[in-house]
Amino acid sequence: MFKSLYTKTLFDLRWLLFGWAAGVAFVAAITMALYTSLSQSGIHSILATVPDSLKPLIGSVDDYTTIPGFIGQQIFGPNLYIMTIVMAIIVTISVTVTQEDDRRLQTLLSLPITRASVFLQKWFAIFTIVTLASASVIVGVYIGLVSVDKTADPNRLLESVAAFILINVTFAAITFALGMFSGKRGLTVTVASAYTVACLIISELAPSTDKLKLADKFSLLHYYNNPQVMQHGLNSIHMIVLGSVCLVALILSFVRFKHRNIGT
Amino acid sequence: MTTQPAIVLINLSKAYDETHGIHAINLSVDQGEVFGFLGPNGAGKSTTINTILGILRPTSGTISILGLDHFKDLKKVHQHIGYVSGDMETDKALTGKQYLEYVANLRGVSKTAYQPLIERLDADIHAKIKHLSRGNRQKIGLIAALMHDPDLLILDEPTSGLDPLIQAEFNAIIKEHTARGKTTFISSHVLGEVQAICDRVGFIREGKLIKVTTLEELMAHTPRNVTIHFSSVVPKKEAFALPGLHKLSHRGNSVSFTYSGDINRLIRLLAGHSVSSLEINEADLEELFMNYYKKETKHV
Repeated sequence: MFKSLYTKTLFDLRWLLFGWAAGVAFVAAITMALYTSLSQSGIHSILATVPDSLKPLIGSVDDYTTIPGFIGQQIFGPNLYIMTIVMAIIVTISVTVTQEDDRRLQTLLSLPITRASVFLQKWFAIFTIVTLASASVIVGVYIGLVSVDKTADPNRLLESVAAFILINVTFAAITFALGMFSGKRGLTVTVASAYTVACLIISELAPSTDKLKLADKFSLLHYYNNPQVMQHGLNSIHMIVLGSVCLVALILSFVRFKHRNIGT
Repeated sequence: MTTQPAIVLINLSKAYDETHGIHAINLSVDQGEVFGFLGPNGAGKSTTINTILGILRPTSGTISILGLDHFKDLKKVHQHIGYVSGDMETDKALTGKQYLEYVANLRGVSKTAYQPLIERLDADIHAKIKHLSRGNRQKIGLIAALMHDPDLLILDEPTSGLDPLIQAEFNAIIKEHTARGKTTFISSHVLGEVQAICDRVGFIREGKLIKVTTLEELMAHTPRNVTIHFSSVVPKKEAFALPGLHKLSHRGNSVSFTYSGDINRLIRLLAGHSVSSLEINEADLEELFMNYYKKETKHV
């Protein structure tokens, strides 16, 4: 496990990865297990009383009474992605600015390893962890489906997982880019957290107010599960937008990291 | 190994702001030399070292390590360098064994290469680094720095936290390293710490290199503490008006002073008097060190 910075970073974060993956699978399984009771509990009358502004958050009748709608809203909706995005940010901060803050990065850079290699190995380690932890959702969904004796379209499920991984990876990439660009822990935590909260609020409220329509275009969550992948399939434009955001952020921070002072 | 100097710094500057940083440092350290880099805390020692290591980017100037261009060949430069600092941070969640294995892999060194160092420094490699004392963590850092027998060893106040026995062992390792023609660059704010191992020393103050000299020359010009006991009449104060004589004090039949002048002149002065005993103590380098930082800065 100590052959490279990449494998060493995976080793460092192994317990976090297992815990996170198990947590995501557990939440997904428990949520799926509630499908039968939620779909038959007079949800129609309850949802009829919900104001329009809260419907994007809570979902429509289909999101409780059909398997694709339920998975799309309850599994791949805000309940789970808020948790996974926060985890992606925490992991990324621990691998980047925390290590610069406590001078571990300085020690590493005194060894025969280039800055480019440090950047890429750290990023691939974060990418691996976020991808594996996010992908564990599929295990939970399958366990849940078996428990309620239902099935789902495997292709749509895989597409949903791909979108779920991509949104988590994109938030990790933004945080990673901020950390490697600035080297400042406080700044990275503040900006990444503030942007994430802004995205959550804007994307939840934008459907019910025209004033947020433009701002919504700058929220990464606008390009996730909108409309639901389980029912409508992947939106390739959205995937390209998220992929491009990752790429641009990583390229800019790569160039800056190669030339800046470390730990000042 | 090339015949180029181990370190060449030409007009090296690193400015954080108007007052902090290092300014136009010119220095050449030959291969096989042990160079002491001295200065009080905040003088610019660590900034210089971090710039040499490429952790900080210089504002201006050039750095050459063993003839390699620091900016073009930084990875190659690091292959020749071993670095350890007193406040070095490592991956504390790893055991010493895991950390050394990791560093060995990055350096391309076999596990067996550093086993003798583990035994010699009596390092505890099985406990997690976070559970080790500061001294034991330093041992792990030293092994990591020495495992590839580096051509240039850069040590930033390395012996803080080491007990005297291990410090003696550390000095012996440095001497063996030098005997193999390798170079050591060691920074400290305590002259006594480097006195035992250095050939030359450089003094840095407020980011400027104010003096570079050999230890021999330094000792020759360092004031010695002199005490003379006279068996009869003590000469008058005026009789001691010699160049390099300071801090003259009388006590009974005894006279004490510090003296950095020609010892023959002192002996000639005493020849006409009845002296019962004469004590000339070793040069007090710490005092000299302190004097450098009290005096007006004089750029070399």
